[in-house]
Amino acid sequence: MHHEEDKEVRSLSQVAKYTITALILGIITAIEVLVLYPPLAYAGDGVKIALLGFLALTKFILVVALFMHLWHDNPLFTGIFTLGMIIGAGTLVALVALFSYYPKPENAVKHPPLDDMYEMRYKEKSEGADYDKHAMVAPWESVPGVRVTV
Amino acid sequence: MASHAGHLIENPHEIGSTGLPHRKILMWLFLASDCMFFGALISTYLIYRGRSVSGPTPEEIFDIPLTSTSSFVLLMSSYLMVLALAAVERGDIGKFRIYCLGTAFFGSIFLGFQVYEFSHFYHAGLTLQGSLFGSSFFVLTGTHGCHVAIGVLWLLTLFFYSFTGGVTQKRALDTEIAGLYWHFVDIVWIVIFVAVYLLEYII
Repeated sequence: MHHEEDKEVRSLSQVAKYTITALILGIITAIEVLVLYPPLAYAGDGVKIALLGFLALTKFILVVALFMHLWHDNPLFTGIFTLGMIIGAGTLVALVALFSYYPKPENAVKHPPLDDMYEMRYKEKSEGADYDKHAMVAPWESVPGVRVTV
Repeated sequence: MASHAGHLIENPHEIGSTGLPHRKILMWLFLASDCMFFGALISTYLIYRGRSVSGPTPEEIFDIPLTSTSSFVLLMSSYLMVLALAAVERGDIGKFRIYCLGTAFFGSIFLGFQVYEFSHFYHAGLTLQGSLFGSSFFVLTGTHGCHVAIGVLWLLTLFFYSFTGGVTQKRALDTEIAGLYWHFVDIVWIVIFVAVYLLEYII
């Protein structure tokens, strides 16, 4: 009898914990949207990005730890999921960094056939040649001033 | 009768040499692999961001209040899902049905928002093959939408299965695994909402 009552009390406290978590998640989502509006609209981009990153991370951790029960579940599950997360997030960071990097022309690795092509395209564009409106730009060709039509 | 993390498990063969249920380990492995999958898709979107040479641009078509509402709906569906699991763990199948159906309903509302958004974007000139933004945006959010749709079907299956006596306290693991998948869909959206929608208005 006592065991059943204990179970009921534990279950109710669990529900209360989930309700508070859901409320916090809702409030964080509202703050995320408010970042785009005054008074934070005039804050620096770095501040806003840091704030959004922090808020999203808080939401992420709350859902994973409390709703998915990783907080008190077996550490093996945390390990498996963290490994997937590290590989996924690592891929994201590596790719974004790779494709955002533009070497200075004097530091760039020389590649004669491509250099010739870039020079030709650059010349065409600087002479006022119009590129096709459906032109696609491959990321590795995103050298400023160069567009390649495919 | 075996047990894991305080749950009773009907079939002792479900527990392996690790002392953990096989199906739960498998679900976590799947979620870990899905992290990599979405990591690649979000990377692709971010790499191609701002490189489209034809419109419409994200700032022209995104509707932040609408997307915030749909994000909130998905978060609340996660809340209902965890309540459904708590209900089945204490053997309250009636409450389980209410929460499970509520979760599926909220998931369907989220999908409705996405269908509305996609059709609105299409009419504004954004297509899958029209620009880099269109391709990367539709593939990323469409893949997430497919995950939500599969989750809704899974939850409805559990809901109807409960009428055949298939959902019991001893088989709470079935609901827990469905819940893990549903919460994962929610956390992926947390990242997409910031990386795709909100970031667009900052840099």
